[in-house]
Amino acid sequence: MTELRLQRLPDGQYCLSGIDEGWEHILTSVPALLAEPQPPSVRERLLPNPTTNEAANRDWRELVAPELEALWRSNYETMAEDLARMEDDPDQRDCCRVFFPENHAAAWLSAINQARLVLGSRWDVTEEDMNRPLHKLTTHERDHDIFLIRLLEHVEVLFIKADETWPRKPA
Amino acid sequence: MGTEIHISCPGCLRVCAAATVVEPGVIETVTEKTKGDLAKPWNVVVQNDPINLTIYVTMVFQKVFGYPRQKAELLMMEVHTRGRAVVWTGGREPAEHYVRVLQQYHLWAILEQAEP
Repeated sequence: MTELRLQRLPDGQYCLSGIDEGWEHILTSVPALLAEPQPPSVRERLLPNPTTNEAANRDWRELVAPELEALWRSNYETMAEDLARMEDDPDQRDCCRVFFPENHAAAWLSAINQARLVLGSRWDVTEEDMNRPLHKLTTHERDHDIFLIRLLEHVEVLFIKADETWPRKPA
Repeated sequence: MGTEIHISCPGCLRVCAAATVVEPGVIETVTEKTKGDLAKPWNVVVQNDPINLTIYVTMVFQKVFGYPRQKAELLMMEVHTRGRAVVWTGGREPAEHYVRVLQQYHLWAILEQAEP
């Protein structure tokens, strides 16, 4: 796989480049994964009960959870729409690049982080799993998804570091 | 004339004077659990999970609470090593708001009443 790069351009846009066939498959799998109906274990992790009070938890599920789910849906749809505009990179053979506006970066970060959590919750991934050397992962489906979580970690860190590096607008 | 003072007067949650005579010089405090609970502070607690990255959790604490990096990192380390950390304490409504925002960032955030 090639090295992904995330740059902020002088006009404020972002450019994610170095997207080879492998990365393209991984990136496009994020919105697809999040659009699937999630099993209860995943929903419980993404939308945990906030209190020990059942009435308060019920209110939370009725009022807050749908709002959060709508926001998350909007985030992965934004990522999918941006990825649909992916183009060949004239500067890197067999690779693509994608441009997207500055205010889409938070949506990408949210979608990537959520995809990692969804995979982790599906397989009840532990700290130990996350620390296993990559070469010790097998071809089993669970290990495949742990490998995907680790690859997406790399993309997520690009977005976090870019956010740290870029000048912050005054509040 | 003595005045009965309800510290947690239903409906107003502030000290008020009722017209009941008790004894000269005696202040009787009446506590109502429900109202009193509302006045108590609430903790916003973040629990550890194996997927969220330490760098991500630090970033979220900085963004959501405006904490300096050092404080955000200390809280993140507490979550990571102890399994949970109280990241904010205050009134119920802002605490609920923070739990909602932290869950929006996919952190495992819950609300607990602070110990007296």
